[in-house]
Amino acid sequence: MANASRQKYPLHDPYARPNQDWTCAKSGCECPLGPSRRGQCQASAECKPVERQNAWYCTRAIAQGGVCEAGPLPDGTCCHPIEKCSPQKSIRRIRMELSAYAFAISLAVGLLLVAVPLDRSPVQPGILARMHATSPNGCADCHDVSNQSTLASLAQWGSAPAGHVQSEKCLACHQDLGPSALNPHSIDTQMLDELVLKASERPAPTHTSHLVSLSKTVFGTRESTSPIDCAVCHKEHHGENADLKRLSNEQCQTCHTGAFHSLGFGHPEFDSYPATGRTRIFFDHTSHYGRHFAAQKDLPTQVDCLQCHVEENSGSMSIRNFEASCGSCHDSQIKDDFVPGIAVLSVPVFDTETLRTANLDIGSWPQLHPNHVSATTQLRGLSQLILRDSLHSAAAERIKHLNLADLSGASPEELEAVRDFAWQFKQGLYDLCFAEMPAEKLGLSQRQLCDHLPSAVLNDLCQSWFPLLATEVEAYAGGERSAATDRADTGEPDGSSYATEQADQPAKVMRRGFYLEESALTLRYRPIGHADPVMQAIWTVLTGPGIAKEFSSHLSSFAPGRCTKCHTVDQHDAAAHVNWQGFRADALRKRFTRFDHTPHINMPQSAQCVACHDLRILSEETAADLKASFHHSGGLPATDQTHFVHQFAGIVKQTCSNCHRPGSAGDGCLACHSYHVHAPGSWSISESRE
Amino acid sequence: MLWLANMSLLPSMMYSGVLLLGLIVGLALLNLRKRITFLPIGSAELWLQIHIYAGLFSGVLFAIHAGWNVPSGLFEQILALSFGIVFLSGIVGLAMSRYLARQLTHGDEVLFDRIPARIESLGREAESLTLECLKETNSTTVPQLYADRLSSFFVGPRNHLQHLLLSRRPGLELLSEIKNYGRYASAVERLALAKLSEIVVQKDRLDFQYALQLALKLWLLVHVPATCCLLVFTALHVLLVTVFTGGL
Repeated sequence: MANASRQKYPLHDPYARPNQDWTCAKSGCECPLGPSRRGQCQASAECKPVERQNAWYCTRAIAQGGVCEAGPLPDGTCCHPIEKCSPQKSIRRIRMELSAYAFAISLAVGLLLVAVPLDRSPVQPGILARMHATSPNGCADCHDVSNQSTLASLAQWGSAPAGHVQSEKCLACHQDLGPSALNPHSIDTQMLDELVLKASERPAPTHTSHLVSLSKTVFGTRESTSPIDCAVCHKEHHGENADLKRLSNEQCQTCHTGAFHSLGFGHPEFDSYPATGRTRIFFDHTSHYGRHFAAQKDLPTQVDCLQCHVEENSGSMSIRNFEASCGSCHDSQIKDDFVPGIAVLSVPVFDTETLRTANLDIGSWPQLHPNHVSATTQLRGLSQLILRDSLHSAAAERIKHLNLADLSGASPEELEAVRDFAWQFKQGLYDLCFAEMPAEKLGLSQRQLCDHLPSAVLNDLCQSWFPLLATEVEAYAGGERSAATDRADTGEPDGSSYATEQADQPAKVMRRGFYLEESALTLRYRPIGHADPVMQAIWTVLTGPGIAKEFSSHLSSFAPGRCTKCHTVDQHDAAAHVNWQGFRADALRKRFTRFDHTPHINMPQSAQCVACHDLRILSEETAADLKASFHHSGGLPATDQTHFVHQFAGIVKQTCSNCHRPGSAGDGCLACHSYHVHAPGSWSISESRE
Repeated sequence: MLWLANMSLLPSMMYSGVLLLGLIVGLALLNLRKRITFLPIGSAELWLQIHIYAGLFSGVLFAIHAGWNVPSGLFEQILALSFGIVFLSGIVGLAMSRYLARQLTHGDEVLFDRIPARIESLGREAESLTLECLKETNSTTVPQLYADRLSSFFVGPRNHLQHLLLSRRPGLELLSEIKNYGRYASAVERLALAKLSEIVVQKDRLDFQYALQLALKLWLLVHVPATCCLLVFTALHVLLVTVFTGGL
């Protein structure tokens, strides 16, 4: 046993082996060997006797008491056997075993979790927002993973192509973000570059955001035009009521060059907001309230915004319909019976005598009474458009300089060209009246126009002027002489005399809609009222691409319907576009800035409107500029929508910042600004000045 | 810095996650460092200090990484729970190692493994003293006291919780009881009772040592296994994040 210790509880204990896994059970009487590594007691006796010269000697260590008096037994075994104990695990070993069990159990639990199919997967980091919670394919709708289980996903990990895979999955459902959805603000790169250029030209903010400046110093400035993945801003798995669109002002400005402190400090001053361009409807508030309404007894002379403007459910202010707001004065102008209807289809007058003499058959052709000279001698009006694809350019080009009513001086080749042209005209008329025009031959606007030509009117036209049209065209197509030519040879009257007999009579009753002006061999159309679909179709055709300037007279504000008196025409590249709608909610949605009137006005009153929308008193020169921005001299519409004059003074920033500040109405960027503005072609740089 | 990264629309959670992963792995390496003693990689004490400060920082970093919210997914909750157990057990262990260890220096210091043997020795001493007193006085006062109160007291280490709370109440109550017995004892018996009181005091000190040292050993039975769980779940979490973030 141990020698007498120097203190009551010796600290320098020779047995203490805290690094071993097993301890002797005989606390205080431990054997020197201690348990084996496997926890087995190695004790046997106090010594292991050695044999020397046929005698056994005790070898007990001095520390254990030295050689014993009794000495080994005759058979060489020690006389002091040590009773075996049951070694116990040390705390170290217990800790190690517990760690091993914990490792194994956690590994099993983890593998069990990942083996569960993903749609019921507990590995989901958080509850999805309500709008995403019912996705049909579970995790695979947004993540590039297998829909079977996480294990299957692990197997296919790394096989996806590089790129914005997850963002593309977002856009698979959110298809309304345009073709450049991942671009900043979802607008195309060219527009982005222009915006960046404009921003760089803007003076630096008076109050900068130090936090944004610091972050840019540390992390650099994000490339203004580099794509941004959806998940950069939209963080999912934060609960069903999480706001996926929540962003701080600093986060909004991290890409912008001129980061300012807040709306009240540093935000650029408003530049003629909310006006971003010429209005879609020309309405001079000053002249109406100052002059026109004054002439009417039942109209107010004081500005009453709500007389015409109404609040939509979306929070924007729209315009009441025509009948409610403008019809009482302007309806009669639209239905003005003194203005001839627009020429839809005009039949040119041919010198049939010369053609017959030259033995060139054009079949029956309406003859005009000599006293009526308003008929056209060329193919004019919308006829060229309606029959465009039926008329071969070669023939039309060749006869362009000829007077079709007098072909006496035309060469034989020209006469043949006239004949070809006449039959092409008839073929086109035949297709229009009797056969459905092949859709692939018509452009959209042409199709729209032809769709509005009632078959009854066409039948009336054919019966009046081309009673033998069907027979002649079919015969001509079969290579036969027309019956009209035969009758001419025999002297029999042909149907072409019908028009002559009718020409003595005045044009048919002045009515609205389609009517035949037989004195001019013209099918005309007079609008029946506001928002006439036929007039819209006609104007759509006239403003389409490739339309010659000769049609521009139809766009005059004095033309039938007086459409451009109020409706503006915007020029976009090669085509013009008539703004039939005064208010477009979708256009507002695509602007950088939005404003909801609802929380700002409790009971709509004009007094509340003028608090922000201050009608300016325009000088004569400015008033003239205003008018010139809508109409040229002669009543033709001005098509440059970028040139405009504001009738209202722009809203100043202070009007908003008085309430929109921290602790009050809040001054978050997203309260007023939109991020995804992407409708191609629906806005221009002028709308982006916010 | 992470807050600035978040402000710059950078993947701050990824950054904090990578940093946290490095911290957790680094913290777990302390156990390995204690086993590898031959490499010149800093003393174990230095490693322990780094472990403590890094562990405290990891708690803050974890809260930042989790967005200062309690996770709502099952796996994330298990991960957070395992981290919480490791972190809190570490805090408790740190507190105990600072405070309890200092308490152990008061009075005699004894090896933990030797305490049961010492207690057994004291028990035998008290028993023989009692029997000797009975032989001399033929009175059952002292034996009665031993049978009623002292025999169970000397069975093994006692009153763990009270000693952990640094309460001396059990020992003092026993001594007071012995003292009360002395009122009705003879001179010989009082002498025996005095010796028994000394033995009780020694045994009480051994109990104190045992309780504190046991606590200082047992907290690692929570901290280390929980760390193993945390490492496994962390590895799974990293794998899941990488798979589900792919293509971003």
